[in-house]
Amino acid sequence: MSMNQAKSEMQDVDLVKLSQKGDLTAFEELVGRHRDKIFARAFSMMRNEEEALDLSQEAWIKGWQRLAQFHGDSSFVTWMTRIVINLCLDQLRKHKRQRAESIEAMDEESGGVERHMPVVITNPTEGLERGELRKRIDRALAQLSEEHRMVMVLHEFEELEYKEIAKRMDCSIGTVMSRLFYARRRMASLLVGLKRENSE
Amino acid sequence: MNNELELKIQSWLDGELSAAEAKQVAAQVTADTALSGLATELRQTKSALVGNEMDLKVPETREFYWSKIARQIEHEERKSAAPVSVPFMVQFRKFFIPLAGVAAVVAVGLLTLNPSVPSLSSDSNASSGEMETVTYRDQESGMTVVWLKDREESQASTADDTSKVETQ
Amino acid sequence: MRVMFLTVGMFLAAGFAVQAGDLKLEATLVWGTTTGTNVSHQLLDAKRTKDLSRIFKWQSYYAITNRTAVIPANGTRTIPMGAKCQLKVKNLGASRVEVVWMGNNKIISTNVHTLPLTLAGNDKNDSAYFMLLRSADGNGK
Repeated sequence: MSMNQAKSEMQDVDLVKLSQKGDLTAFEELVGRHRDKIFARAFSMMRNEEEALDLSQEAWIKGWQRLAQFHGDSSFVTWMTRIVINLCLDQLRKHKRQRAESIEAMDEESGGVERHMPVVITNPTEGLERGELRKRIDRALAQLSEEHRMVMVLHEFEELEYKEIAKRMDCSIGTVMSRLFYARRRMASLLVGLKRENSE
Repeated sequence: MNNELELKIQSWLDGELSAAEAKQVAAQVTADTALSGLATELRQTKSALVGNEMDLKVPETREFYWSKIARQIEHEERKSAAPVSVPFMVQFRKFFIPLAGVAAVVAVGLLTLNPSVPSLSSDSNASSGEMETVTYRDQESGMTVVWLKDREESQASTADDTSKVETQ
Repeated sequence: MRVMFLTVGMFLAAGFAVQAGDLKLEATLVWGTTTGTNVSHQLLDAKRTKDLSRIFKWQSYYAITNRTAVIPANGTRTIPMGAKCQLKVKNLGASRVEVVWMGNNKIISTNVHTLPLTLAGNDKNDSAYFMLLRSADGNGK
């Protein structure tokens, strides 16, 4: 059995231990196993394939450099996901600094048009096949503002609590609640729009 | 409906309220159709998203993706390697200078005997300031790929040739 | 007499043919795309398309410019690939080359590698360009 075959059969926890001792081939196996998940998280936040590729690779480099700080409190992939999330948030802060203050930006917290949208009571995703549902959610997420999308990804996909999101996004819990609220309202409206589009 | 109440309904659905507050909000939602409509919308959106993230794959081969990471790790490690201390360099020179002399004589001898000897230099990449390069060797085709990364200048220069052929 | 003709013949043949140590290089500028189409250029040959598709994400590869040059041992040749794009290739021997890629009269990159070699990068609209270099001696190297 070759060395690589042996590594492909090892548990993450053992590969991490070898990596912590400087075994780069063990780390390569970890990258091979979890690269899709780390890339997917970066893509869901950035909605840009090139940026997601760069940030996911940067996350793996940071992961390697900080392996000594990993004590197994969470799974390795959860730990790596946190690293890529932090890199994406840093990147989005840079975007925000570059972006001129606009009415849209101010609307992020105050709700903008979402404040006046009628409530959607009929479930716009009812009866959808899972693949189709995922596609529609993806399309709707792509249309949210960066801040709204970020808070949705962290809350719904990463299942982080308000205070944890606030810490990571470097804002108040009130801001998180507000962004999440308007993001959901906008999402509901987008899903209704997509349903209408598909039934026409 | 005030915004504070709207956010409270959301917090209730997300399980972020204390038991007492949750009881109070639940009662308000039951008693008011507008509030219950909002709660329904928020709940539906939340449940539609859970577990329904798109499955995405890295749009590159495992080897190519890893080669860029490995290259950067090696680069960072070389960069952070501790500088050689002066006393060591003094010791080192004692051996290095005579050894370098011998190596030079051997190299001159080789070139004199066989002027067509292949270049002794190893693979290298240098790019303009705006760019960085990543090298990947594809075992199957034996091809070396040098990826020139993120520079506006190079894109502009090739755009002259490729823009002509874009979507028509 | 026959020997003399043979010698002269060999001498003349040597003058026109590729000399030992010469490199016959083929350079192909390729545009890779998934969403775009291109009616004015041919798709790249199947073998190289397969090689690129295995490594990269793009689905279609179009050969934009194809050039062949004979480079003597230790010699350098400039190969124009487009209006503002050219390669300066030095034959280092044993299929090794030093490639200077010039765009808008500026050096984009200088690379020393063994053939076959591909230089590549992103282009606009999620497409990419590729400079494929290989020996045109028939061995595909």
